[in-house]
Amino acid sequence: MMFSGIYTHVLLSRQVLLQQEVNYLLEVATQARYGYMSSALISESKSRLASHGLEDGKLIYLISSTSGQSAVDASHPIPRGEGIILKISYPFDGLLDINQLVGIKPPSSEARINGFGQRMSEYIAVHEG
Amino acid sequence: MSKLMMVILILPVLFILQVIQQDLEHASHVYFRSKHGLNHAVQAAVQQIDTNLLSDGIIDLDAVLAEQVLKNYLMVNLKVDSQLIPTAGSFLRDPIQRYRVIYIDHLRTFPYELNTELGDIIQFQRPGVYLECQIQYPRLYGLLPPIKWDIRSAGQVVPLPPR
Repeated sequence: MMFSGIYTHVLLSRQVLLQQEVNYLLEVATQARYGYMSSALISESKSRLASHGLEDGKLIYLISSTSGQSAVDASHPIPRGEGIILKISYPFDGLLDINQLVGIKPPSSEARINGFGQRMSEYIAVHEG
Repeated sequence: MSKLMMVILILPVLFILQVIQQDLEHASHVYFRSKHGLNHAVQAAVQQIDTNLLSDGIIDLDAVLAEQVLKNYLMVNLKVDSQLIPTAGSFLRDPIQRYRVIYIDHLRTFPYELNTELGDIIQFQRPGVYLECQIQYPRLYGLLPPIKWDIRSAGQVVPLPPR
């Protein structure tokens, strides 16, 4: 019972990290000069999360847009008015397994914690000349 | 025997402290998640420029469209329905109270200072939106008293990127 609190604290912290990362990535990707989420941005995000103890191979990034258009294509950014949707998920990693000692069933092995957000793109194509 | 008694007495106290600490930690997470939800909603609303006024050279918001977009983004990010009641999977448990939106139109004199009922003074340089929601923290355990936050967000018309 005494250790259960520590595991819950780790779980809460991981969830906060994922949500913070979602907000940051959306903030960058929806800027007027981008309008998309590049693979470099994702790999930097994975490194940041890995530095906090998460395994980057277990992270899943789901990126989409409200128009259905791909939000990772630099040649076709999401225009102003459409939203970019991001969900980052990570497995529970057995953090709540210890609760079985007091009869509480842990989440299934497929269950994941996640951070989620939708933000409107500010991208506008600027034609020179 | 006395040591055993001490451990038995201390354990529940430690457990309660741990539970309170977890709840407070979760509360700060819920607060910031809600705040970001409001920010995303306002950021989307202030992009709804009134195209009829724009053709006359006036930059202002289309209040009807902005209201729709604002609510839509709030619904998606906080996972609530159109009545602002949490849906399945939401991190909130109670409906959002005191949903208040104020539009600052182009007819005001800028910089315009908005004095809110909550005592904030917000300065707008351009037309914009102010959003206020009262959110109740869904306590994990019943040890904390009910917590309510008046979360505010404000934004103004997004300028075009520099050429």
